[in-house]
Amino acid sequence: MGVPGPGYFPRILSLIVILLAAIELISSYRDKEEEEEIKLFAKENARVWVSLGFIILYFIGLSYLGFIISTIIFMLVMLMYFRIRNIIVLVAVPIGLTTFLYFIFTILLKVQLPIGKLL
Amino acid sequence: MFSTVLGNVFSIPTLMAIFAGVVMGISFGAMPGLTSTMGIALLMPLTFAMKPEIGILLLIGIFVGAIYGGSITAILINTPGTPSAAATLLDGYPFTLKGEAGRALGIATVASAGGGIISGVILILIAPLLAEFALRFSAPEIFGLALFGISIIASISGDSLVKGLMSGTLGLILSLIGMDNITGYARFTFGSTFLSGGLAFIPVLVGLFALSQCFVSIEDIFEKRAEINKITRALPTKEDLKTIWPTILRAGVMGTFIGSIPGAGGDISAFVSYDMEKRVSKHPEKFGTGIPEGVAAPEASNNGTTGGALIPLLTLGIPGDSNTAVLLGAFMVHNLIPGPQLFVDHAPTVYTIFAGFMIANIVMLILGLSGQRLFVKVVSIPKQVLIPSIIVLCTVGSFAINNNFKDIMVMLVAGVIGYFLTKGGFPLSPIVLALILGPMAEGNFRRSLVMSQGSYAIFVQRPMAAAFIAVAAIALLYPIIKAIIVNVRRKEAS
Repeated sequence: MGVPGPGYFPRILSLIVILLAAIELISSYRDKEEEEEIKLFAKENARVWVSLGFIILYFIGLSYLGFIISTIIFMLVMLMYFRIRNIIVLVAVPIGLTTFLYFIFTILLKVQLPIGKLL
Repeated sequence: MFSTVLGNVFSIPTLMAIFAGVVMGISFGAMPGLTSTMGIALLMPLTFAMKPEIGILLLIGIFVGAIYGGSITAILINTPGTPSAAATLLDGYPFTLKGEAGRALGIATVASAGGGIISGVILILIAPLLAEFALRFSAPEIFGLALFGISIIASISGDSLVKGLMSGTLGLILSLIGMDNITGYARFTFGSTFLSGGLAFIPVLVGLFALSQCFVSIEDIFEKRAEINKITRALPTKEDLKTIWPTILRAGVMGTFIGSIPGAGGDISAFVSYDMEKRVSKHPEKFGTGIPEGVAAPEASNNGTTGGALIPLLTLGIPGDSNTAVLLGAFMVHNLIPGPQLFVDHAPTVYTIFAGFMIANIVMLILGLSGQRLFVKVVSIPKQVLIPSIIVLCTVGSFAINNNFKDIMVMLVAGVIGYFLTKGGFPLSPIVLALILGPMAEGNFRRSLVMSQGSYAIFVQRPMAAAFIAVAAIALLYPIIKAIIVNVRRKEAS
């Protein structure tokens, strides 16, 4: 008998997934009364997708502008988007968090934070 | 070795790490929507630059603190801060309604610390024995153990067995990515050198447990939380202590036992202990109206699971829940591989962790009795500020491991997938557990077959391996067996 190679596990696992998916499909087809719509693109979800957009922009920003500038901008944008209007919070939280993380990672732990290509 | 351990534990950095861990843990646990797993995953990158035992004790401090912290919000606003505090609100919130919130918080603190310390004692007594026994395990047994761990958690977590299993299989498939560690063959890398080392564990974890949770919280970000009234004293009275100590003892031992079974965590043990206490009580009808035993039982029990869950983690390298799965990742970052060999090669580290675990519980007791005002303030931080901050933490944490932007992308993808899976009712813990146990299961499966020259009989002939595989099979087939029995009985009845 041969000893299983690198393809053995992936094959077994894909069979298991196919089997489980079939069971789930059949059982969800059978109990139609329990049907419940999963909301992914409703009004509440719109907020999630917009936030995701900001997060992606933040990641792009990190690679061009570096950690400090991008984080301050990202925090400010997110707080405004979440309807924070208190000026003190809007100024203190982005700067406070950025300084705190910079202190912990760069100064205390000597771990590199993202540096921008442009700066 | 004794003096090394004492020197390690009672050094200023270690004590500071434990203290900071417990403070952050309680805060994470107390805030609804932030879980203990999220806390450990988010703060793990902070520990990379620390000495192994200090970093791990910081994370254990978070674990211990977070399980306790959930009780604060359960008692004060009738919302469990962590799932494991779900049973605490049954009797905890009635105390608040009676205007005795402080009393309930005091009882919860003492019970949590008591349960934690009991579990620590059991951990210290049992772990070395179990580790010595497990030293005899070889490839087939370890494969059986890994299979056992994955199948138990897949069958317990979530509402649907099929979905739990699918999550588990997804984790196993993700664990295949990268170089096959027996033949060196590149699998599912699509020619990318970034993937040839396999998916980095921490970005996946941070994405699944922290970022996806942020997305869920964003859905109802403008929902107002209940106001918290000022609390008075949180020191329990002598009479209360007298009433609850037998409860703490029973629930602590029970919690440790349940915690040591892979798959069962603090939420299950808290309900089991609450139920048990109701049964042995002389006045079971008073449960639910706000009595000390009703708060002490779930709290002693869920903190009992912390020490219990460390038993299989340290001795067998099998994490019992998502918290210990993340801790296992932290051990690996520090080049410590949990399992019987750890007790041989790194005995001082192991015993330092034991001692630190006890100290974490004492720190928790002191903080819980004196720092309630601080934690109430932390809980009142609005979600709108909290969520963006956590997103930044997720990003920084994922980047800090390898200074690699691609890890941030992995974290983001894992976060979005985790959000979809949560919405679809798929539990996330089996994915992480399978991701970490996958290589262990596969490697040892194939190594066993090399040992036996391709004969599958090796898994049956070795009693321990056969036993583990049998238990795994029973866990998977149990719902089916149960359904058949119920069906047969129904037919007999009619």
